[in-house]
Amino acid sequence: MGHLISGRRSVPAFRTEVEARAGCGVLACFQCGKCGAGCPLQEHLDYSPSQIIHLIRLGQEETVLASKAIWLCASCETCTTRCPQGVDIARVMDAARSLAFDRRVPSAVPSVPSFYKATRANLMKFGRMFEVWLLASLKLRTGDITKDMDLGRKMMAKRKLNLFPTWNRVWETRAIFKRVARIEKERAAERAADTQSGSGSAGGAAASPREGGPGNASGGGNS
Amino acid sequence: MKFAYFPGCSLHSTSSEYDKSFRAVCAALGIELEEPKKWICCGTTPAHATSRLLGAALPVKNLRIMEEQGMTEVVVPCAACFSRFKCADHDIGKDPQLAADVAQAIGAEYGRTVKIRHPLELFLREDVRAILRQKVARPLAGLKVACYYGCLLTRPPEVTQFDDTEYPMSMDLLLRDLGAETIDWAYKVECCGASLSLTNSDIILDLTRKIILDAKARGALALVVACPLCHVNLDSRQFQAEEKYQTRLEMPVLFFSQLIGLALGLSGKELGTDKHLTDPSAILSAVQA
Repeated sequence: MGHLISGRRSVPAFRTEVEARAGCGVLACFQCGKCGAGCPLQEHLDYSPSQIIHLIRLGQEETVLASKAIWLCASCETCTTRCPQGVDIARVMDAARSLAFDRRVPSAVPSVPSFYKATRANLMKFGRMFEVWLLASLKLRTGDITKDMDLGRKMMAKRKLNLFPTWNRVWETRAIFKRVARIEKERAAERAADTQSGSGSAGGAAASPREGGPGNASGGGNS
Repeated sequence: MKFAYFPGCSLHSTSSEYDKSFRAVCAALGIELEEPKKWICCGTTPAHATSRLLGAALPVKNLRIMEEQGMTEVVVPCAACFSRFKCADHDIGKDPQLAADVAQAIGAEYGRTVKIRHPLELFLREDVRAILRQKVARPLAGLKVACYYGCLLTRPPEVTQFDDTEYPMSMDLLLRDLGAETIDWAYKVECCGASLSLTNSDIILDLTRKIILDAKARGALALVVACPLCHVNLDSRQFQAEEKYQTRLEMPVLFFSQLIGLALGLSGKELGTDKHLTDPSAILSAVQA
């Protein structure tokens, strides 16, 4: 597992950034470990979900963004569903990987961000998933040309893969991607200004724990 | 009865048999389906894992497309699309800032008028269930199956509002109506690894093996699924798991819509059972015998 704490980091900048991106807080976590106990990927992770949550609270940005755990999370939502404190752990994982993705932090599982990039590019090109193109571009990105050739052949034989794409609302889809990027830039600038002026409250109301969850001690409280 | 129908990308390609069987069953029951024109991908994991806003904007764009086309209730068979739609709808209802950002991103206001349903909810409506019971031509008697729900139908419960989150029974009840026996087992809502399929297949094969072995140990003749991602991991990758673990799994994996179709007397071909990579013929002959 390695050392949990390394270097110094001013707390809450990293935590508040993750909370704002997740739309939920992490302070309610009392480290019971229920999230890891039910996680189907647990044995493949370097840090358990509750350790990731704690690292975020400690401001251990480098450790979190370099972890395998944030990329291997399958978004199955078991942790989120079972958390007794209402922490939306699956969203926090999304928030951490989106931060690593945007900042181009080298990934501990590089094929996963390659898959994200290939899929996003695919959607901007066709508006829908065109699997053959996606698989080919993923192979080019990861360099693993021979992977799943057996599966691909069998699926082709069963005509489970379309050989030709369809194009649907491509310009509208591209416009959505562009506007999303612009809006997110604006929001990030607002958050940065907030932090500098010292009034930062981690995304305000959005940073409360998941609805229905007990305890509102988390929130995006000022530290 | 008429519903909007959002197949999603998978039902147009890797799981076309889910699309085919669902349409065939609806036609047999007198349920009319209308696909919205020019829908786009819901964004799936690569959207929500890289941007919360994008993950909400793409499903809401589709809901807005349906609203524009006068649709009020949509059936979404793909569990991943279903989850993304439900989640986006839930989030914009709860977070006004996100709703405003989504409206800006898609360049339109969405009035949240489209209800989102999974086909299992549809078939368990009392009126539909009554028609279904009436039309059973070939009861599934003696067919012992394991209903596999996976992750996204029931989780998180306040978002999907679908059945019990830890031990759902909707698919079991539906198939029991048709005469099948459904088993109690431990992996009903375990994750198959979903979108890690393309990048970390070794993990998928491990999860696939565990799920199938539990169903097998409890005497199930087949797994029944309601999600195209589950189907690819459990059916199409099953031969890889057999090779990797040097074991014989031989577990047919059917979509629940295919079993409904068989009970209604439709042929395997009409339901796309020839599309599976793991041979389902043992099940077909058991039903047709």
